[in-house]
Amino acid sequence: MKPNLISLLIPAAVAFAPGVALAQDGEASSSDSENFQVIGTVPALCSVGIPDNSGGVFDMGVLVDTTTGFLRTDLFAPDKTLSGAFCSSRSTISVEASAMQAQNFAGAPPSGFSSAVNYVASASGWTTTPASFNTGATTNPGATQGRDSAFTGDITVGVSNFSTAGGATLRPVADDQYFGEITVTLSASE
Amino acid sequence: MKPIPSILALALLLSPAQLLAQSAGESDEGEVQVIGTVTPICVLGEPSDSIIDLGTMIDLSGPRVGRIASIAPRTVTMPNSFCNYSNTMISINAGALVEQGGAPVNTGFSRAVNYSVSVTPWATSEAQLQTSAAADGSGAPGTANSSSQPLPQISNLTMELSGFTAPSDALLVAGDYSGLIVVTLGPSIED
Repeated sequence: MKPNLISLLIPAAVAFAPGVALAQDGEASSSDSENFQVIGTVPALCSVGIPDNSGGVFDMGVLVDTTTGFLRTDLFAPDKTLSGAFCSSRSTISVEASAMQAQNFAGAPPSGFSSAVNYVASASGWTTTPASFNTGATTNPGATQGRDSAFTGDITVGVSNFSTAGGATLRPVADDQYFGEITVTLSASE
Repeated sequence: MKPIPSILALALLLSPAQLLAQSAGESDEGEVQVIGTVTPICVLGEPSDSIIDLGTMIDLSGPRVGRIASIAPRTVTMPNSFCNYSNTMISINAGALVEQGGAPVNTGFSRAVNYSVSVTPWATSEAQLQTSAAADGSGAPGTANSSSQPLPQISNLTMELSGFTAPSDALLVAGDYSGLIVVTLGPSIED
């Protein structure tokens, strides 16, 4: 009698054991952990900074040599610093500029005269090779330069190499205001 | 099939003996012990969130453009967390949010965002941790433990993340940031 009873009970116990053990492992133990992920994003962003002085104007003064009427060869203006410029990702810097045009003189200039002055605008400090734009050139392949990493620093904008549009043999027409514009653009590139 | 009849046979055999005992006197006493065990367990309540999304972490305009914005504290609740035994603690292991691209950073930039995380209330001294990654994202995750809770405890635990800062308040590099927090409720190491 007894051996038979035991043989009945033991298989039942063995059959239950794995189920009980499984439930304990899967549901609760003496410690419990939870994992959390904290996530956030930072969008690609560029800021070109703020011109340091005189409202971002290069004042070149009188453009011509008053004895000859030809463009002065010593035209100079201090560089402008765009301070605190940054891009939070890879970036390109590009410079565009327009020739200084006589603002009040109308029509085509007479023979021997010119109503525009060309120059080279450059932006340095951001890339190994400064971005530069010659207003007298038909193409400006160096006007856009790339940078592979996020960067912050000052951008120095300068003007140089002034020349009379049409050639050095021409004289700029008299005008109260010659005006050209330089645009420096920082772009984030993914 | 064969064992079943043998049980019946046993029952039949016992019955006369029981009848015999009952008829022995006016009263009789027996002791029966009922025993069982309760396994020591700790359970963290179902978290209200498992991903804490801070969204865009920088100011997009104004004087702090490109730098970390004022990010409101975030909370995650784990209601009815409990341990049914004594001397337990909460342990937090957490790392800073780090930009996942991994490229080196130039001076003035950071690819890490540090924060403070706490899980309360559990014990006299709560688990609280401040991550401390460097601007380049380096720095191992930190661990902080609460003091030991001397009694079995049930608590609506709240995890709070606050004080989001960039190392040196640098500009943040563009990209996706993530950090991992592991909260563990278990036996105190003081045991």
